[in-house]
Amino acid sequence: MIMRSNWKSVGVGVAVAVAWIGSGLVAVQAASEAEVTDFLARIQSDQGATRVDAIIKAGPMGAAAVVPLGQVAGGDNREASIAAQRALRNIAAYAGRPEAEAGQRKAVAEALTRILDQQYSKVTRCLALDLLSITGNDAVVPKIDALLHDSDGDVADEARRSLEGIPGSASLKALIDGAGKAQGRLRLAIFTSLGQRAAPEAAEVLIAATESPDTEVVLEALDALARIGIAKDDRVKMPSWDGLNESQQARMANSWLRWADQRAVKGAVEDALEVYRMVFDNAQSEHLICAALIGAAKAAPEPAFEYVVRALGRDENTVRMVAVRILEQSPGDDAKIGKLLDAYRNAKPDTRELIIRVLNAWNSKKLAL
Amino acid sequence: MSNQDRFTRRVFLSRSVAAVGAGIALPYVIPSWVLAAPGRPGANERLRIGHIGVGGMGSGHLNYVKTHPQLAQSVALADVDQNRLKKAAELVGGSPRLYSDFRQLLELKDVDAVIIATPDHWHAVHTIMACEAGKDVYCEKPACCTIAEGRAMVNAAKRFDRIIQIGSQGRSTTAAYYACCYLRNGRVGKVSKVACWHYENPTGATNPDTAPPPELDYDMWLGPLRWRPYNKDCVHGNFRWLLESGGGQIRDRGAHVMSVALYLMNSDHTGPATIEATGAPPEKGLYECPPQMEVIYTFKNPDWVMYWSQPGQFPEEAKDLGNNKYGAKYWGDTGALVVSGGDGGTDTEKKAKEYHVPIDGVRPYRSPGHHEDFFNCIRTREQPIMNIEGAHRTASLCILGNVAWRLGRKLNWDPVAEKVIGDEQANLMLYRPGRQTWHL
Repeated sequence: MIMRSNWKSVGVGVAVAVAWIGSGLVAVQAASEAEVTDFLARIQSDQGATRVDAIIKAGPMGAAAVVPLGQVAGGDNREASIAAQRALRNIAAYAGRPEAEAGQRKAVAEALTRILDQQYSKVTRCLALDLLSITGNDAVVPKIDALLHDSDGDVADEARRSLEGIPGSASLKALIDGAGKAQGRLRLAIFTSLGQRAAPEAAEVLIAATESPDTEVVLEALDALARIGIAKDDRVKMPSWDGLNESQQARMANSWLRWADQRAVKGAVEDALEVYRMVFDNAQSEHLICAALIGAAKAAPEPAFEYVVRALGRDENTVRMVAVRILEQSPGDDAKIGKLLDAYRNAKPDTRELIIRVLNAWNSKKLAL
Repeated sequence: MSNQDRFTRRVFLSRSVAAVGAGIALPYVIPSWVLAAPGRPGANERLRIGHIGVGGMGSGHLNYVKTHPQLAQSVALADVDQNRLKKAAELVGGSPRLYSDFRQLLELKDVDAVIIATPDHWHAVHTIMACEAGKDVYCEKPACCTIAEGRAMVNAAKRFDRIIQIGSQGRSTTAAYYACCYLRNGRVGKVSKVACWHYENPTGATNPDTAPPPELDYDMWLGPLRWRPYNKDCVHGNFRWLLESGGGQIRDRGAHVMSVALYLMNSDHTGPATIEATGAPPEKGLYECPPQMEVIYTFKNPDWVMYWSQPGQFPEEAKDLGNNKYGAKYWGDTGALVVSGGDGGTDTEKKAKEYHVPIDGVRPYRSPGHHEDFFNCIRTREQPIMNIEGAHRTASLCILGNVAWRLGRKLNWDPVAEKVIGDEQANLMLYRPGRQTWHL
């Protein structure tokens, strides 16, 4: 009786009943209506220790407690709201245990979608989206997808984050569809999500985006395509290099290198080497040349050897040191020794010193063997 | 240069001289002018530093650079808080360039390196973008907030061959070096247990949410962190007490104490096999880290256990040591050693300080000082003492401790694959999507 008198609104009690009945937990062992009611009362207790105890024991309350907790989380009682949010986290964590009953996680995920409605507070909705990123599945994606169009930009972005986190084809499809429809910053954010997922299925919508007159749209689409590592495609439109400012040029170069790295991973070594060579021969920034050398040496040590040796003679110290390290770590054979000695003939004094260092390293390895 | 090196060099030289002709002078030491190059500082030139985040820890770095003008100079500052930016500019003096948006600072060609002292949730994005801009990086600890962030930082450093030093400066202290020599030379035998102690997490933050103040760009302060309403109790230094932004003492000072532990245990390239955590949430307020916490990490091959305990058991030997509110005791089969602190005020027992490493003993790398080590490595391109791989492994311990606590269950960890074994939900928590377009 004392616990019941702590209720702030009868609505919470009704919500408990509705949630319990509607939770679809027939096949899953669920907390009883009375248990959930008692639990809610303890979450809203004036006593901190009581709230903490309820939070710790929240897990088994399961899906039935989600909707009423969502209401408390958005209420005026600050400490009860905080306790309710922590309890929701514990319910999501409990449902995600490897040994959880089949259907428990699905039930909690489904219940979380019910507190995405606009009647719930922004904090509650965003928390639910965050918890869905670690409990969600294909079935809940449509309700999250709908929030990509929410009038609150923060909520829409949280929906995007949630979709990015939920594994599976439904969330990916929602992001791909969203990429074609969303505008402004959200659209760019969806591109980054598709890049992080690195899913080939996203290629078409990203390729289409490279036609945009908005340079930012094109650059983000290119970065996402680079992360996917698509095969060469004539439909990909590159912006004019001279039309980009320095910062944009740097981003573009970074995307090229990233694409080359991905192509190398996929076994398309020639694609990768083409970019590495271009960067090595044309880039003005030493860090890009370093990246090209490192990428080339990893992807194709033999063809890259010539570039690595040439790098020993460059002015940039960082480039020279990368070249030295690559050579020292590679096996030195007679052919390579011969090429290094050839290079030595016409090298500047400082480059000769580096060549000697590499030859010594190879010699030491041979002696050690 | 060792005698072996000199011998092999002479052997090789005789062959190479025969190949290319006689009378070629070959110096043993690379002259300093070789280390200078267009766009890179020479051995005697000051490094030009850009500072991203100039608040609490950031002002400490500004002071360091200011009092070491022979090593470096602060040429550009970036902060999302206009008041902090103005105060930092006054501290630096002269006319550093000032930015609200760090991206503009990263575009500067005359910045050799950046020092990042922003809240933890920004560390990964700032560091990765700095590497992509060609800058070497000193970033405050902990390195990252998720396993995926740390690995992305390591990859960025490798892609562009950038030097990254993470601010676990305990490793650069004399006491940590002595303790490392003592342990690595077997003075306590085989270490089977490391027991960390640290005082409790703060509780509180009962002020209501409000609109952010005009001087703070809250949207940029949040950056990659998921949206939450502004609350003055949760920004700037107080970001530490929320799990997503700071992770509590285990991630804050735990990154110091456990960094020293991994250094002493020579375990920078591995991780635990299991992690378990207990602790009750706080009774009130927004701060959500458990006031008291216990995390147990088990390591395999070699086998040892580490305890992170708040408050933990204060060892008697720490009574007379400096900075002893936190630290770790290392238990071996023939003895034990206490190392207090873990950050700049690290201290250890007299027996370690007085220990002399034998001629054929183990001598770990000795840092000349955390900033100096970073500045040196910018020139030599060698790895600093708290390089990003080791820092990522340290932060991983802190992160996994919190994940185990949040999920309320034991985690079985594969330190090679960096995955939780048999727990899909836990694995989903190793990465979190960035807000807006902020991504790894």
